[in-house]
Amino acid sequence: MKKVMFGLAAAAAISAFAIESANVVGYNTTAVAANTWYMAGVQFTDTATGTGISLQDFVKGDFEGKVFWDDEMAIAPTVQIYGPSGYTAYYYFVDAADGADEVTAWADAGGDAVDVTLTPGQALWFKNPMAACNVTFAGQVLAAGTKDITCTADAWNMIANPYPMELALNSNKVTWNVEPKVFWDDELPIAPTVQIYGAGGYTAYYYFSDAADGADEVTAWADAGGDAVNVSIPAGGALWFKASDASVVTFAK
Amino acid sequence: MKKIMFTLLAACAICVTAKGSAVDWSFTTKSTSTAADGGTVYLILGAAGTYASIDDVKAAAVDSAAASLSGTKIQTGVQVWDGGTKAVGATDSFSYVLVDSGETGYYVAATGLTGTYYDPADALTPKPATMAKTVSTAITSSSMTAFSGGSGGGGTPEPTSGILLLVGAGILGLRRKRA
Repeated sequence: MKKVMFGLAAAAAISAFAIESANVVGYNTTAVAANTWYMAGVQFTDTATGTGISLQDFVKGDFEGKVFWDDEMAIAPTVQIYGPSGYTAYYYFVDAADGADEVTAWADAGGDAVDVTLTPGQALWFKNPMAACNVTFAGQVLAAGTKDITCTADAWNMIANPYPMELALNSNKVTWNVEPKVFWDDELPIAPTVQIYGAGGYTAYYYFSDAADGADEVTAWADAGGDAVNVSIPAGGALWFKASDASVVTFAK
Repeated sequence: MKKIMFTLLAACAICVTAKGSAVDWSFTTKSTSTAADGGTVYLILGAAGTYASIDDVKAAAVDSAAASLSGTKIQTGVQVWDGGTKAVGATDSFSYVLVDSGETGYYVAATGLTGTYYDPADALTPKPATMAKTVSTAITSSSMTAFSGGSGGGGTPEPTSGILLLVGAGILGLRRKRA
């Protein structure tokens, strides 16, 4: 009898887990060297709303907060979120003000805990000035479908692959909605450009109507020499994107 | 107040350390010339002008890169030129000179380019697009100007250098006479 009850309890536990796992929760942990900026894309949402995720919930890890009142802003773990006209910085304080309470939280330069919502397709910089750490980005995985990201013309837009799988630049999984330029018309500086950030710095790619692909000329993302590239944006990977025309970049899963 | 001072100190430290700037550049021309394969592209600050010899080109260049033939293209990879203490965000005009592998002929890109200096240590902001010269026609076309003169250094001495040679020989003669 005891055995049967145990089996029923186990079955109940499994079914409860199955119900909870209908929302697929994911995370991405990355080792970041001390005092080094790391560009991360927002690829998760909040499990409750599915439309965005709080900065407080999205960026966590084994890094330590600093004391706001000890003038430690410059050495506190930092996040910078860029828009077309600049960026906003947030700091990880152990004594951030949250109403009447003091909490360990991401806070603004005044030491107040912030309520910032991030949406998949956004990106941010993270840095822990004083020590190497593991930073974890977590939330609910986006469901299959498409995600549109509106970009400003003639500005560097910091955007991200919102899905937990790598997507090739030159594939039908990413639609850029911008006009390519002609490589041989000296138009490289004004061609739509992406700069993908890695440990060694940026690599730039340009959108040309006459990129070389073997013996053919194709419309494709190409390197500075005009050759089409086989490059993917990593899962949750972020990049800078700039074009002379405003566009809606669409990622598809 | 302490916080403001700390921020100011941090800002000053950034000012002291941020001393380098760079310009990225590359060169591509549509050509199947084997002479240019293995040649060199020289980066010139300002207008390329005309040169009497390849040595003059080399002396004027601030950077250079090997050019190689790839399919129908003669090209360099993306180069990073250390602009030294140039202010980040400042711009300069540049030109290219392509010297072929035999150094018997050389060509000047017809138009200059504008390069923007960026801070290579700044990982946060995107850097300017690579300054690239792409020439769609063959290097012997009108888009590139071939100029004669060949390799410098071995030609007829100019009058001024001939006079210097005579003066030097005279001094040497006087010393021998005294000895």
